[in-house]
Amino acid sequence: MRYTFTSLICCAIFLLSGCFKDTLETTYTYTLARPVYLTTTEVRSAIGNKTATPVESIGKMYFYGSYIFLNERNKGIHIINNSNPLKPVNETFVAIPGCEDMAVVGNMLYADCYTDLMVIDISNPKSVILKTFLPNQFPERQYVMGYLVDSGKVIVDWIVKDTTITYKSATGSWINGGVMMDSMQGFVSFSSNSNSLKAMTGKGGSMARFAITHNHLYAVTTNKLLTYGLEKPELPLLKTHTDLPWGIETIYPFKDKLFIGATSGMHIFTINNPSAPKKAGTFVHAQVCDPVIADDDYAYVTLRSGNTCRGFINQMDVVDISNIFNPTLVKSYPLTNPHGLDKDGNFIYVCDGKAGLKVLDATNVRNVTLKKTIPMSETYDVVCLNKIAYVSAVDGLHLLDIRNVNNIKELSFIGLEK
Amino acid sequence: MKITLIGIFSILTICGLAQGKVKTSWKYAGIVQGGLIGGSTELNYSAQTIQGIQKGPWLVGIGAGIDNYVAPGFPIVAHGQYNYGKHKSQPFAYLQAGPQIPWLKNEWDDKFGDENIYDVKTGWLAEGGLGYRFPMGKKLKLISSIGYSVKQVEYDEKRINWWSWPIIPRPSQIPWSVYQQKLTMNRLILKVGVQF
Repeated sequence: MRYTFTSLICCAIFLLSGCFKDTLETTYTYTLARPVYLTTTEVRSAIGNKTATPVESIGKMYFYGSYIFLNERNKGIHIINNSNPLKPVNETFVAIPGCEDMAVVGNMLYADCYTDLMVIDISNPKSVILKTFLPNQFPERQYVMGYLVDSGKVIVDWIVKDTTITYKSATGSWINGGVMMDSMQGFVSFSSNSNSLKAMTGKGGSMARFAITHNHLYAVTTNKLLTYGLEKPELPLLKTHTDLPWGIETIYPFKDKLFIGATSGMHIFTINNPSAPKKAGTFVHAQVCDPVIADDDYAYVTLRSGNTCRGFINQMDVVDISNIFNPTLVKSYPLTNPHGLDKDGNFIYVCDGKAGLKVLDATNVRNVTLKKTIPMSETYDVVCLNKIAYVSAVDGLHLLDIRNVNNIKELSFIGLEK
Repeated sequence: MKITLIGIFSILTICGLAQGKVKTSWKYAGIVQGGLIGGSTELNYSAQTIQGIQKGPWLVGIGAGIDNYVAPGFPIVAHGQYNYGKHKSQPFAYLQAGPQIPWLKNEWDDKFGDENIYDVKTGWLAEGGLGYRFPMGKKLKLISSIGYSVKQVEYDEKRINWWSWPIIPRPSQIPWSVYQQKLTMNRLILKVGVQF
């Protein structure tokens, strides 16, 4: 009897369990972003100076001469006169829809405009002139926040509206759901410009995707290294495009090398022939984001996780690049959530996310020590230039006097408009 | 199906209550049982111990255990059971309900191998069923039951917006979307155990 009963209900569970449906009720509050289009003709005519506006969403930065070029993500570039670091002056704003990266040499500013590359004459920063518009240089940026932009059109703004929806789905799909449009995001790079406008090259941050060196503009896309000759600065000539593994993020030039940060590793290219970068070696690491900087003997790579970078690593790797064909790990140093970094003398400045700005003593790369932590709201990238550290953070751009590492002082601050 | 089961359970309970009163005192009763849970998503297991007291046909107690169906957790339930008839072998009906403390709070991404991050909250569980208990020796009884169980778990699910790739997100602009999920699991549950 007992076995018969047990057997019967055992059969029942196999036969009847399918009759019971698991359901998933999903509530999702999203920001529906509807693009506002302009034609490329309209955009080109709109590119130019606008009245200086407060920084709303700090992007990448680039330093050139006494100017700071500060990207307003996807909107344009603030040109900030930094002649007096104690009181930088936001002079003008150059409207460039879809702009995320930039680089400057001589009188020319090179910036992206979604899929296109543009050259802007900044001889007079207060009255810039669009010189060249090279379409479809970065085709991967055509798919903008889920929108495939028609050729001949550019997204210049978004109309956003918060909406909450609730829907039910049957089991089997309960770990999946609709993907809706969220608010815009982006990131940053750095640039600057001088009054003298000599044919000098500026400096970007470790998160930049544009770099100028050896009279060439190098730009990385998700899987390509594009090399533009700047023999005619106003008319960049695409010379080579080198295929790279997918997941390319940053580019950092140092002397005759390019250090390219990717989610899976760091690639080193030699530019003995600047028109044709040649791959030398790769340092492979776990799947994470990895801004990189370098000096003569070592590359410093920050690895972080916790977002699209995936992975579970948060550290700085010191990589021996004395043999660029075989870069080897010297040592890893744990950090909280490192982003951009830069080196000034023996000190490495690391933006460690919410942990602030960390100053590391790298006199002995095998024993890098924490010299100081400067508390700041979420830090993103840092550029050290002329004993000033320019730190972009979630609340704005901090200018720090780093002449005495034991007594780092804030010189000035360009805050975001709330 | 749900209505049918509830109906059968109600009729049996009314029939049981209609029987004459049995004059007995409360005494300790314990149950240890394992279960097989079947629903539209998967077949999984449960284990439970109930510590309670029994008087006549009634058994009430507190149950604790593991429910590994889809959203694993530790249910802590109030248990009520009514045994029909006076034979040594007798059918019974039971009800139990209570909260479920999540076992895996943030690790579902490991379970499902995706990139999402889950924050599972305390849920609840209710169950009712019919069973039979058979004598096994002097005090021990083999119990076997089948029931309908509903479990509800709420969790926040953070999904990466992959279309933003390969932008390196700024610390404050990690491209996550947060979904508030309410997962209701309707299951059939088979339990086999011993009562002592």
